[in-house]
Amino acid sequence: MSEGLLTTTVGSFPKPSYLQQARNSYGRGEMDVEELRRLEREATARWIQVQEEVGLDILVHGEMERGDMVAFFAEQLGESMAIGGLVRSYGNRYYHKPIITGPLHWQGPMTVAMWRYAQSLTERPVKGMLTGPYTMVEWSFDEHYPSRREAVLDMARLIHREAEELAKAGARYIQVDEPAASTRPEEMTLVAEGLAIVTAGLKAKTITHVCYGDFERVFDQMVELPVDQLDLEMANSDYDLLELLRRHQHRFRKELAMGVVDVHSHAVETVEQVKAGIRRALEFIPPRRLYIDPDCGLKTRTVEEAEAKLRAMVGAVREVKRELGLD
Amino acid sequence: IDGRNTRMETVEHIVDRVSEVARTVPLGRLYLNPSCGLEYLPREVAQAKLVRMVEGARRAQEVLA
Repeated sequence: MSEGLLTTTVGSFPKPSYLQQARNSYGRGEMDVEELRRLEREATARWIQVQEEVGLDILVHGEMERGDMVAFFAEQLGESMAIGGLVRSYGNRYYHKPIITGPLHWQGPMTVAMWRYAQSLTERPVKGMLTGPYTMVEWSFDEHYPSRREAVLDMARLIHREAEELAKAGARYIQVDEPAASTRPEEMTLVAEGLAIVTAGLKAKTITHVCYGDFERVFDQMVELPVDQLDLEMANSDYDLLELLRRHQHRFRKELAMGVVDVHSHAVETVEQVKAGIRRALEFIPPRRLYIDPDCGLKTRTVEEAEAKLRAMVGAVREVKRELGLD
Repeated sequence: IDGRNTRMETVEHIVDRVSEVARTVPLGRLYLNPSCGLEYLPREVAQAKLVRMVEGARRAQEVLA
């Protein structure tokens, strides 16, 4: 691999319509699980192929087998979690919010088989993808634990076990996502405590993706989070966060995965727009510590939009590397 | 009543909380509510919490009045 500026994605890709239909059929009891799994693998294989063809360095499996990032794990933790009734998320959207019903504990590998399958299709590293303990607890009801902290710590031990299994299976990158971290800035210490348990002693490189609100407020804890790499959105705020990191660059020693395309916009970024963002980061972050990816998961985009944004991103990185003599 | 969690309060818990507040606010000026809107609970749980809250209020009236 080259000298830095590696490209990757955050984790999710849009599901092809045949898979969305299959998930609906399965939900109505009209399709059996083996057929659904076969179609999930087929869609995964296609996304591995697309990622290679576009030229990404670090791949993801794309989460074809996952719906909600908390429910996916809760459904496999039936001894301590239940799937609750329909709950309003926003507008008229409803989902089944999981409930913690007993002491949280690992029941067996939840992500390893799909990771292994995806990795078997490519020579490039495929990231292991986990939801962080703070987010798991924050986005569930809790009918068991006397305190949030106890729930988060037990959840962290369980997720650590899963991370160990991924590392044992050969995952070289393990990502632990904490989108709920920005919900309560006063609990960032707890977020960090949970992540420390998850990442302790892992042989893989660890990454966390957080969606931030008031980043400045939690800056101190954010730059000390117990992971090797922070994956942050930049494109949707016109790189405001980059300026904050620049002002405090002596305190930010980790790797940074920087989001350079907006996943909530239909507009496909131009290569020049992306290059401008990358060059700004390179003013104070060395290439070997800088990774380039989209702002967030791509599952809300159409397949065509997702691919176009990825090509713009990779095209921009190629040009910057050429201009800097990094290739 | 916690409007953001499905954990069901007990009647004893409600009576306990009311007794504590009644030390400062006379019953005649005290109204019981869930903590916030119930829209983020499953419908059946929201209804069950309302029923439980009223049970708790009635029991508190017996005990305190």
